[in-house]
Amino acid sequence: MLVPIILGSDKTTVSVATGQNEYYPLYMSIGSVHNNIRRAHCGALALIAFLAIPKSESS
Amino acid sequence: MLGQPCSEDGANLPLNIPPPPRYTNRDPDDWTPYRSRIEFETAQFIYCRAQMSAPNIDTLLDLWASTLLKHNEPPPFANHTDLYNTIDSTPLGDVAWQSFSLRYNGDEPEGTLPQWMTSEYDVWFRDPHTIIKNMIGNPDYNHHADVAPVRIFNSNGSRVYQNFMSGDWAWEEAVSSIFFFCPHIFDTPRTG
Repeated sequence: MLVPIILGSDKTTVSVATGQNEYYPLYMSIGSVHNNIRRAHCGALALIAFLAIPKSESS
Repeated sequence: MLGQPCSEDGANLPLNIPPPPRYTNRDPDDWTPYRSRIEFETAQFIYCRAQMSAPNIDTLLDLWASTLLKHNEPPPFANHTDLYNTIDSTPLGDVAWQSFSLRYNGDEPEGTLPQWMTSEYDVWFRDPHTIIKNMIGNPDYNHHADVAPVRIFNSNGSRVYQNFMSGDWAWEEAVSSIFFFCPHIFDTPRTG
């Protein structure tokens, strides 16, 4: 059985009372599921990680 | 490449066999945060199927409470707030979050190290293997997923691209010498 794995990440800024935080959520889906199902909030797109993004300070 | 279901050791199974139960660490009788299966099914019926308004939920639960009063038992939910709170606290999926820390461990340049080379970073994740197993086993995707790559052609003989598994990448990933000995729906052996 072929199960293609699709990963995607996009920076998300979350504003909370303590200040602004940037998160890098990593999403995963499988290629076997049809496109209309993947778009339909049926759990075919899962949040699997929050990536650590080291920042280089600009001087 | 017909996508016939098989057991873990590769033995073919009948075509319409249901998938095995979803992987979970929990006891089959554990309906937490619901106290019982009846409570879960009540919530599912009221919220998902009947899509009942909050005042109607309160009326129904009041009637329910009054019929149970003589048995000295509470209704499945006290009121619509209790129902909503229980639904909101329902865990989504059974795959726990885990974390690990990491830091730069490569060669260090001379002089002051930039901060990112000395900082520790937390990575939070959920076991992707279990999540994929849950996705593959999700009965909601029955008839909405392809278990094998497909090449679809319309009546003019032109290729139709529809979902991920109808694309060239999936097809080429799965092609093997064994493939050419298997029957397939469209007589279009890959060449080149």
